Amino acid sequence: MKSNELKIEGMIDIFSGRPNPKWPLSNEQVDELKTKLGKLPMAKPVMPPGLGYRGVLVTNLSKDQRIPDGIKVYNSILTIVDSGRTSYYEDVNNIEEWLLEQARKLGYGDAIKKFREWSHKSI
Amino acid sequence: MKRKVFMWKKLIDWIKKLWCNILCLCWKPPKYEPEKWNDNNGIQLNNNCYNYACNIQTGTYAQPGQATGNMYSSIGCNEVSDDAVSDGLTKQDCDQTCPNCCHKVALVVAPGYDYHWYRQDDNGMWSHKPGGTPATNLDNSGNPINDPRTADRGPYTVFCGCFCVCKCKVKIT
Repeated sequence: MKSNELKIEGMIDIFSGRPNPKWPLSNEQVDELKTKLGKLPMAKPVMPPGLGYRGVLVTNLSKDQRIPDGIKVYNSILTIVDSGRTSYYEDVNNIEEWLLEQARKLGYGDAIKKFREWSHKSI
Repeated sequence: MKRKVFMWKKLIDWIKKLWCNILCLCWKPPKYEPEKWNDNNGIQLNNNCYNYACNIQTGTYAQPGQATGNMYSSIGCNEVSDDAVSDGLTKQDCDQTCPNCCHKVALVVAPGYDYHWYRQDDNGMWSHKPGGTPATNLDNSGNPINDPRTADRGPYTVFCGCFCVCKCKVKIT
């Protein structure tokens, strides 16, 4: 792997047995994500259900300086992990929907719809 | 030369099985020990519900049938059950106990999308590990699971049945 190769992965945390769907984020998408992560109000953490839709994750495997090490967004609350520190923010820029739209384009629209319905019914 | 290697492999397999069966004499059903799975890192992230139910950490997100080359092509009770049986699990009436050296697991599916497994621990209660998330003994409503047939299983609405996982007889990857 080249040292400057971009490796940033999106993943819907949705399945239990099968591997979760993953996709690579492009350079342009990382730029857009950086902008969306601009100014966000702080929030309290939320707990997703065990089974069903548990949110969308972005993992910064190439340690790109533009975005934090790890991002998870569930139910409009962002969990951001950077340099070992975890913070929570309101998803006022709709990052969750923006990421889900990318997954829908890859053919996971039905699964997202079905599993999201159930996660809203749970605690 | 090939014949010799084959014979040695057979002998090693036989010794492994014998050792496993000896250990089996003091075998007990799995304890609910989430700390063995919930490291928020490699063990937790790379072992799924099937690993947890079988109580085998492969670190490969094990899939039913993969070890025997029979992995499902679609998600339904029959497909996933058949694949699990090919891995060495045996079907069992949920109201009956499993033989010695075996523990009980249960399969549920969200038809067409995914499957999920529960296991019965030594206290008679059930626990599970949803994907790469922590192992837990609670259902989707936050209640302890005394029967996976009646637990809140979220989108895994179809209960397929119970199986026995017998030590020394199950292989998953």
